[in-house]
Amino acid sequence: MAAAGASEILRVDDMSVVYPSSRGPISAVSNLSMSMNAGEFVSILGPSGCGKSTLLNVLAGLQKASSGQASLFGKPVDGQPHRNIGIVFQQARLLPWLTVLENIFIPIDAMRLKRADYLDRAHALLKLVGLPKFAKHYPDELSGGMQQRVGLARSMIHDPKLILMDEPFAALDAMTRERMSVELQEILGKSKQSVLFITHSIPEAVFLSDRVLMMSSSPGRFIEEVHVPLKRPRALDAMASGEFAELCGRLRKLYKH
Amino acid sequence: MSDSTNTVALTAHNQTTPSFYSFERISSVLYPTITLAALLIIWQTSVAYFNVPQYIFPSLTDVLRELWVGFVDGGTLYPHLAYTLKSALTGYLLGCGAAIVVGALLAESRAFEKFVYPLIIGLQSTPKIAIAPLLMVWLGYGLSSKIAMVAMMCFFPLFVNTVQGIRQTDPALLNMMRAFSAPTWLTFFRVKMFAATSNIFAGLQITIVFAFIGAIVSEFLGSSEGLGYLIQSAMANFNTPVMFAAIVTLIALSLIGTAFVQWVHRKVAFWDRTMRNKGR
Ligand SMILES: Nc1ncnc2c1ncn2[C@@H]1O[C@H](COP(=O)(O)OP(=O)(O)O)[C@@H](O)[C@H]1O
Ligand SMILES: [Mg+2]
Repeated sequence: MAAAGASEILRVDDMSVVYPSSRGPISAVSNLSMSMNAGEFVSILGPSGCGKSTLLNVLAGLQKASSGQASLFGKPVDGQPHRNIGIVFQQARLLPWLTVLENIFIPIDAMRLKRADYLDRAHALLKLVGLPKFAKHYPDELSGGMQQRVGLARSMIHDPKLILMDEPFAALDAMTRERMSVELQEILGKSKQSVLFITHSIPEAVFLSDRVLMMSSSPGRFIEEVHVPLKRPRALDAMASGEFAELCGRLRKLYKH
Repeated sequence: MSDSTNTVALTAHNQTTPSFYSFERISSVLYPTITLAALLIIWQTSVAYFNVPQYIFPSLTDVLRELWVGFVDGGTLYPHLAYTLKSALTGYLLGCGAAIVVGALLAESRAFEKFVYPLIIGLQSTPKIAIAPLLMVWLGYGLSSKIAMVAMMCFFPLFVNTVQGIRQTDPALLNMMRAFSAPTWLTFFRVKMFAATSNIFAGLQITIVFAFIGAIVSEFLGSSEGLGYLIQSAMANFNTPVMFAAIVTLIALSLIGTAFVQWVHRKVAFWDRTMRNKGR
């Protein structure tokens, strides 16, 4: 949970996104408002197509809102990616012609920082994500889960204050997915980054988050906010607790199919 | 990292290429060789059987004798081979180099896409050979007109391939680069050029064959050297064995050129699984 008086790092005010299409404008998300404090892990939960990626892309500066505003660290994001964020996608999106280490350096190269200054950090991150021996491997020599961990290390190399994650584990098998959730929690326990996490899995959202924001189906709007008071660090057996089941149950009732 | 991880990476790459003496590798050479041998035997025996005059269709042994004289015992074919190679390869390098550079520069430009690209696609269909006589008028009958012809034959296909290759870059990767605030030049050299590699090599493979066509055609039009000139002058006195020898040499050149480009492609595009599996 955010400490009392913690600073606000993210704010969305009455934001809507409309896509033009041949059959007229499509409203992807409408009138979203939310905020996030430093150190928080917030999940956005909703059925596919409800506009989760759209919201995240606006925050990442990859597209513009049609109305309303999104701000990061007190400054409006207006289609310009902020340097103090990291991003993890559903597919790892590694460059197959670069080694794992070179892939991790992409944000460093992109921001014209010196690789040498971040070499130790890169190796520390590889260790943190459980791939200390894979720096010189190429992405196609790694499994999907390992690739996704490289993507995670890449998103953290420049020590961003906030990491945006768009269903990072959705493409993984169920076993790997659970293990990755536990690992992500351990990694964040050490690195203290704030995370905005997008998922359509209720248990995943509850397990990882301090707060879960539930979105309605298209056009997406926030319909419920659930605080998760479970103590950290959480082990997988936390999922078997009555409190966990009760929280999941509350969210499941809201899930419109 | 330690050396041990390095070797792991290397062996992992090698495992996907079939070993040199694998059955697949041998049979892929053996089966077509059987067909070729059969065709050659049919050629030799039927020319003898039907008593075909040599000036119409030479026998296999006539052609082999001509090749022997041309390359081993006398070496009369070498100067012609060298001349054709010089114009074909120089033109190939110039034309392909220009195609990649200009293609890369223009692939990113919106104005170019709207105003110029459709014209180039349209011009693609005009036979470039028709322009060869003009090049002779402008540049004379020496090597430069041949090089220009070859370069032009190579430029357009590779140019189009380069532009398309760059445009085909996975938008998800471009989005990723943008999310990390990558400047345009970095995205271009780190992502787009690599993404275009397969298309560029496909173009390089087609154009190596075009290069020899271009060289031969311009030698037909006016030259005192080269394999094209040799075919042309042998035609005047119905010396078909020489014509065949020159044609066989040209086929060999095209095959070697194509194989070489494929080999370089495999070495360059080490990350491309589909390339690595084409081990033969
Ligand atoms: N570029 C686009 N153009 C038109 N419609 C889009 C575009 N991207 C997304 N949409 C539509 O907007 C809605 C929300 O999409 P998205 O944000 O990807 O949802 P989610 O990530 O929750 O699955 C969907 O109905 C989708 O079809
Ligand atoms: Mg999505």
